Amino acid sequence: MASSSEINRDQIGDLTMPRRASMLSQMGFYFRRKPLGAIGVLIVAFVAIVALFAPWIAPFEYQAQNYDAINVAPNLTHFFGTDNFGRDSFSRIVAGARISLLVGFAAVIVGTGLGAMLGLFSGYYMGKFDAIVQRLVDMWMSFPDLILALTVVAVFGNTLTNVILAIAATIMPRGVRVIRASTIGLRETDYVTAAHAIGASSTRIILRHILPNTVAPFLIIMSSMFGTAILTEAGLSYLGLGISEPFPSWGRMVTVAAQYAVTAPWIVIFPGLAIMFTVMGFAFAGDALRDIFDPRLRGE
Amino acid sequence: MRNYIIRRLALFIPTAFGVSLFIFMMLHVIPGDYATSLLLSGTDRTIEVTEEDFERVRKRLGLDGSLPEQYLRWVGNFARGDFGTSWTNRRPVLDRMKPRLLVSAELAFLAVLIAVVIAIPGGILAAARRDTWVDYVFRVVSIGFESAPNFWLALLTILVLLAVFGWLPPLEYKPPWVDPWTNFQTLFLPAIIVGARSSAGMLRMTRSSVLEVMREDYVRTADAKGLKRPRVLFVHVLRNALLPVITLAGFEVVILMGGLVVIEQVFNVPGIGKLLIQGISGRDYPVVQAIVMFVAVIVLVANLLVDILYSVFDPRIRYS
Repeated sequence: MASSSEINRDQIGDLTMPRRASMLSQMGFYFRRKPLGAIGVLIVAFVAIVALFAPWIAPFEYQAQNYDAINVAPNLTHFFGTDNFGRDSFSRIVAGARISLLVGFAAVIVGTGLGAMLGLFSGYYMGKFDAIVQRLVDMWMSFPDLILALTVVAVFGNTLTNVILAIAATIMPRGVRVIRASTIGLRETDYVTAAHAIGASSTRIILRHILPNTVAPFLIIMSSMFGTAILTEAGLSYLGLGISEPFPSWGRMVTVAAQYAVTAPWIVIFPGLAIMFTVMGFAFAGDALRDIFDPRLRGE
Repeated sequence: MRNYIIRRLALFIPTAFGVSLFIFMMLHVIPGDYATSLLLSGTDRTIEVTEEDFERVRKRLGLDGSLPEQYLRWVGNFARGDFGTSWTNRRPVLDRMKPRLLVSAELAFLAVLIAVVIAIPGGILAAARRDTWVDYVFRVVSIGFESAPNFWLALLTILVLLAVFGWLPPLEYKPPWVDPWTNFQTLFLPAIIVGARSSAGMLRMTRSSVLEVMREDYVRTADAKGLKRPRVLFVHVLRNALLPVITLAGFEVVILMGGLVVIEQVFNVPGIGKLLIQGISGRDYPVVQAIVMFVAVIVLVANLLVDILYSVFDPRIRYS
């Protein structure tokens, strides 16, 4: 969609916008240009705030059982109803935001981080090392995400750490691909050649000249993988291989609720909505980041 | 052309070996010896278990010999079409896989069919009405489908059908040649849910492919010489824009086979994914090993074919 008129308008927009526009008007500007991206950022911020202040937002303890209020429909005390143990659904979903964001964040950091490191070296040195890494990535990517995560968790056990590492393993090869591609582009730039010419070491070039320029693709892949990570965790939970008790994972909440779905549909509906809402937020935010950092990909 | 295919094949073989080595190692790093747990869990503790018993059990499980020996034996047999013997019911793994592969293939095919029916008209419409509310609605809905866990969508769909029509999908799968109506009733819900999800990516691809072709000179020429808009769209744009989409849809059938694990579990469809879960929960490693390997190999083959097909359509790829 990068038509010439649009680019011009952007440039004019930048010129005419007052240098120190108030934050509010800047946000308004952004909202009009990229409504979906702005909504995504708002959703992500909202979920992050909920996760951060979970104990203060939740009206009940997420594990507190109340046998006088089992499978109660949503009302003013229990906004999202209660489950089969009389636990407040709303409080559990609020507490679950921590788990989902923790799993998503940790998996994405480990996965894209390791992937980016491999991608940097692979793209910079090329040759044999690159060929080997690329074959490894091909291998890695031939496993469907869920099957890879499933096998890892089944073999090593479904502790929190293992679930995170298993999801990170599905993200890693994508990190390698993306960062390698941008590294290959960067190593041809004049400033890298110049750094070579004045005798900078390869490590220095990678760390000081290439790494800082891969921040944009790194952020983009992180935000687009975040949602995938949350969904993979939900899938694992459904298969009984997600994070185990006592953590309130959204995926497992839906799974456990399934058998009460007919009498108490609300305990199925709300945790699933929470997953969908959060994952959508990250998807929109990721698209917006891509538009901002990489105008060439606009509209794809 | 021939050189390119040979080069791609030369890359394929070591990759497939790497995959097999990886799967084998994953399943053999587990601490503990299956033969020991098998012998010592079921037997009366007063009976003496001799070293020969261990040897015999290990041999029957295919766990005798060093790890490299075991690996070579497994890969050799796999390449010859012998996928090993299931530990839980002593039947050849391949015999257990065959009927389930058919079920998964049927489901994957139906799902992709539905995906194409949604994605192609939707993508064309979104491209033709680019940046209008139609485009936005398609984008939001498609991202929505991709963002919802499919087992949740499945549960909601079942709930709604139950509440509104008092209808539940049949619980037992029947092959289409035995009972086509039951077969259809069992598979159409999972197919819609999987299909809606894969339609999202396909829709975006159709949209960007159509938009790309609309920028071509020959489309401008067609416009300029006064052809009606629909004629330009159908004759000049779609012909060129849909080729990559349809090619990919074909391979999506193959790739989906490994992605049906969860949905088969929800709808109790006896496909390959369900067998995998059974294998995992029963610690039946020959089954797990064979299925993971099989799925990875078909994905690799599909990728190989896509690359070769693309190089036929676009000669530039061959020389890069």
